[in-house]
Amino acid sequence: MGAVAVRPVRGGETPTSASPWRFGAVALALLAGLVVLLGLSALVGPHWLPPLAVFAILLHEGSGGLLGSACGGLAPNPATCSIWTEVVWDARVPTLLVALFCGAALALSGGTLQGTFRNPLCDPFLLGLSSGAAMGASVLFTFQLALAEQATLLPVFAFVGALVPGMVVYAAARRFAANPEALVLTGVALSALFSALLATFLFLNPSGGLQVSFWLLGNLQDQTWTRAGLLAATVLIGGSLIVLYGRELNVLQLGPEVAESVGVEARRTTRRLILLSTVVTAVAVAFTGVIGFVGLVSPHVVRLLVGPDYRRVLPLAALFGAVFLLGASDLAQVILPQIFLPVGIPTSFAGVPFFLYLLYRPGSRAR
Amino acid sequence: MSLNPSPNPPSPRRTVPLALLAVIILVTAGLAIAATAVYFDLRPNAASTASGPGRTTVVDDLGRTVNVPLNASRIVVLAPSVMDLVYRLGLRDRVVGVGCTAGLSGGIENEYSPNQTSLWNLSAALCITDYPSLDTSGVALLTPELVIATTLTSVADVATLSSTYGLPVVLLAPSTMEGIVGDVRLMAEMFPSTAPVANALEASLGQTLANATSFDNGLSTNGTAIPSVLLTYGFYSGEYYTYGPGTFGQSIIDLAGGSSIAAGLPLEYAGLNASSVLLDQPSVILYGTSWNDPYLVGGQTPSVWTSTAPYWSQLNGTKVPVDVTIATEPDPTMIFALPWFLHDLHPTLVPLPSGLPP
Repeated sequence: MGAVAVRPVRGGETPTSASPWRFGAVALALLAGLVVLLGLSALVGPHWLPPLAVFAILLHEGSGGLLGSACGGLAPNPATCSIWTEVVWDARVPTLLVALFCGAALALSGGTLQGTFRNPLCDPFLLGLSSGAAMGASVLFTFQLALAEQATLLPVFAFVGALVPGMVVYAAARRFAANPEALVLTGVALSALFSALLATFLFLNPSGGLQVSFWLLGNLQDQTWTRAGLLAATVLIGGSLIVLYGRELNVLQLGPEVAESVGVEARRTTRRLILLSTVVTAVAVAFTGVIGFVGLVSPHVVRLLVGPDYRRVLPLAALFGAVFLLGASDLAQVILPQIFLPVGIPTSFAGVPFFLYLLYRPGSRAR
Repeated sequence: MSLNPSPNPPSPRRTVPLALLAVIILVTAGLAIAATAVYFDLRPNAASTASGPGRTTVVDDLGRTVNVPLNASRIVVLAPSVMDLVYRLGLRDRVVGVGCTAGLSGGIENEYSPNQTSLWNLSAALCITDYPSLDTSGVALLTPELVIATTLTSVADVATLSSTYGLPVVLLAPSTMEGIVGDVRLMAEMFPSTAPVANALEASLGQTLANATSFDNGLSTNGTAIPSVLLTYGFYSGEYYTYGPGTFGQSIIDLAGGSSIAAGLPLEYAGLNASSVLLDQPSVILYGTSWNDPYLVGGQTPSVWTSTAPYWSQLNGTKVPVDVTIATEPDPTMIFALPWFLHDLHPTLVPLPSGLPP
């Protein structure tokens, strides 16, 4: 798979990395987009709230009550202001933070795995993490475990379920690090296995499907500050460690033998990157379910913009993933405010045309 | 597109101080965000921590302990089975919102039959979107004092209502007929003002169940033939979908003195191959009819059954249409319908009850 997908390096090929200026411009544009989207996202929801009141709530709560007044004096009474505050500060803000960090996690993970396996088709879910998470969640419902505590245990079971296939691939990498095709196919096989287990569980207990559908469709609803915090910490810590491997990933593209010859321990680097990607993705999936396309497309888009240097691709892919998921989520809510469209649907609808345009536009490196 | 970097890859040696600095900053940021987030979640929520003489603590059907206001004046109801109970206890006027698939065509009638909509005076104005996710902020903006739901509401949505908005959420999810009666007692705990009505309802439900159980026991001692029954809520692709062991549909057949041809199935809501139904030739076929609801129960109206159900004309048993909500929604109406089921299965022994089915 990888051998087919990866273009061999030829002598005399023109370096394809963009200039630092281009990198800076793209980074700035993405950061600006992120800031704008964060502000807009707080305004978007199934129920309209006065924009000035929303910003007043953000200012007041965000400053710990030091700045501004609650609801900017726009709420008709204190009780209404209290509810508006809960809607904005305790529901919308955690949701947009989860969208931001989940997008970053998936994109970062996708870029890392594409580089580690030297396969442009890789995304975080190719290793079976999504079906593992869904299977983990379905265990909770199929066997009616801890009925009163299912809400708390749901992300835990999903997280553990997602870790299982990732850890198997990680273990396989101890022996087969030099053979990325074998590792990817291991993930594909595990994905099929967990999908079959999930289908069996749902067949035995169809009512459990209602709850598990959350993982299968992807959903940014029902987020909390704790979830946002856990995800943020995981992405920032795990992500920064991943980005540190940018140079090694660059060298790995030349093959494990070449990498070893220039001092990169290919086997160990591969294992560490699989481990980090798995953990980052598993935390995201546990809270949001399966959101497709972000992990696949974000690194490619960034690569088209700034070239293939992983030191640049990885951080920018994280930024792009955050912007992309946040934007897709907002778009879905604006277009269909009465329906909580699973966020995986708008990511694909919005992302595919854009991705194809970037691939085939005049002057694209892909042409 | 190339995944390969420059053919002259940069040296793998890192410029450690700069990278280390970046890592330290990001790790610190991560930890700070996590700590802040936990702080925001741990702040006491006025609604969730409220207690006092006007409140009581109940244990719901999932074993959750919930502190609720007594005689809540604003209720959100998230399932038709709960609405049935609320209506029978005279609490309809306190309902400020009901769950429905508002964004899909059909609106409130995707979840509530026309009979229910009319009887309970429901309208689209009460709709709170609950598919595919519950509009939790919509519930909060209605400022209910109590939310009553079932396990049809996802655990994530229940957690959001409780933890984010501090709303008391009670889950009514009975697993037996007796559990339905137990829910009447649970409601009476939360609404002491309804005690007289609740007591009467509980007694009436208990009597109906006792009568059915007595009749069923009498059948086995008298040696009366037990009719074989197919209770089906829909058909699709050559299969009749039915209620297997552990379902309320199975309980209805048992209590009405019948023997379900689906009793041996390993699944709760399994499809029975139509040809095996043809071979079984059940004595009674209770077929669930819907109100042309395209989303929830297949849209199989009586005319659809008679015209397109597999082998329909070759099934010789007595065919009785049943409002699919009666066999599906675990509420008092299900129990009060038992005399009609007894008549359907034993028309010579049990006279047709007077009046219309509940």
